[in-house]
Amino acid sequence: MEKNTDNMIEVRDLTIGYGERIIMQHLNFEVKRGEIFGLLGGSGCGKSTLMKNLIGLYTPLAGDVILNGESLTAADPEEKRRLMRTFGVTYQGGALFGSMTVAENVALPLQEFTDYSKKKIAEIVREKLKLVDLADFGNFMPAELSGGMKKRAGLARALALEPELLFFDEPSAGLDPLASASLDRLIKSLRDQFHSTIVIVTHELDSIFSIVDRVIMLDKQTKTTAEIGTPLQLRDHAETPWVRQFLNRDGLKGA
Amino acid sequence: MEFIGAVAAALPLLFRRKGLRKREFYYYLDLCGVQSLPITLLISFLMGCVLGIQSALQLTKFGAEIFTADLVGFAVLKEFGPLMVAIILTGRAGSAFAAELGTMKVNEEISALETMGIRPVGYLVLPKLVAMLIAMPLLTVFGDIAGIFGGMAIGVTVMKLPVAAYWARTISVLDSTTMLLGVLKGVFFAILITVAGCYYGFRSTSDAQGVGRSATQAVVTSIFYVIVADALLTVLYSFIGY
Repeated sequence: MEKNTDNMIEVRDLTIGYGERIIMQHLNFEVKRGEIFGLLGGSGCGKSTLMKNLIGLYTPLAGDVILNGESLTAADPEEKRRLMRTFGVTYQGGALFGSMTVAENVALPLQEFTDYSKKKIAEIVREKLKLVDLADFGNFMPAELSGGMKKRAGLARALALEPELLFFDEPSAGLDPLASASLDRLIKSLRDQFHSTIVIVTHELDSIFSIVDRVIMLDKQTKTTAEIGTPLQLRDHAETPWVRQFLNRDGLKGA
Repeated sequence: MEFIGAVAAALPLLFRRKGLRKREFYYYLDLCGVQSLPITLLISFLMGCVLGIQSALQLTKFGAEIFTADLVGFAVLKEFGPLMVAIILTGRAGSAFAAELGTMKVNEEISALETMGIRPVGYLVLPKLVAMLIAMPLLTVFGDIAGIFGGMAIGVTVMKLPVAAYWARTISVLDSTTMLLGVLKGVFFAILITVAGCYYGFRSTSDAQGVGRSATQAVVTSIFYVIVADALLTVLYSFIGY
């Protein structure tokens, strides 16, 4: 397959679901290098399931996910693990390992996959923790952190191997408006500073309009893509009425 | 079965550098081994007493009290030593493994490992398995000794047998092969308990009740398989004359 350098992720005729039950089908979209791409849709439409298929936790029922020119779907287990190391994932609750300190969590991928010295690893860990504003919390246990701090620590861990591609599962869920705004700023600065490509599952309108470049709207009824485009364009000109309503919060927010 | 395959596939990782996580290994060795020692000694000692009393009740009818030493010795070494340790470790370690992995699943920690490109089975199961494989035989030896002393306590107090006579009888009838075969049972039990605990932990559904259910299933299943394995091994041993 020809390596298409413009597209970080290509999704080809993807069908996802659990066993016999199809959640979404005939999904076709691509995520361009350096863009912040939002997976949107009503609650329970399959946004998170779609993300889990994109990151290889679930196997698609049909179709293909191509990361950086390589198929994740067709990869054998060893290949798949190698591909998975090329991106970072930030989970809803942070998914930090409870038996390790924050710094040890961030150090884990470095210890597993690099031959760096202890000193170099400690240095990288400090740098990543500083980036997410947790420089003083390296020795804390995950249980001692607040929800927002856990997410940021999880982000630091996802950044440890300097991935070009980052996934965020509902970064704003459970955060107050200030914390979620500061996380949004952090996500945007990652793209601006490091040119990372970012895929984000969210239904927070503020985040969508302030940081997301393009979105895919998933339709629970038709079980496929409703619209793809920039948030503003979809808010004002989407052909599907509910997409306009969704992005306008049913017209309550000034159009 | 698929899970056993995955564990077996991960075994070669043990021989790699960084293959076994030292800190986790020591943690589980402490949990399964050191911390389980007092309860193992106590339960095995009491089991020895119970066996001693039951044997004494029957054997006094024939005036054969001294054979209590034989009965208790063989029963403990061949059956009750390894079995009691297996039941204690099922309760202490098997359930803990299931609950721990179940909770990690709820917190998406297992997903996080996978997307880091780390094999959860190798990373999470191997330290537990190796710790159990070391702890179980050692605990069995301690349990055996405590059980024999339990029988002796009854022999000396209830049946008024001289300590020296009881002891002499015990060491004259028991041999190291009998004990090693019992310890070998413990090795099989260790594998069963670890695999059952981890299997149900990984299979846990992602909610609090799911974690509870997986711990229950791990305990029930591992006790069942331990007893089945014990029966099979006992039959097998009888063929080779033990």
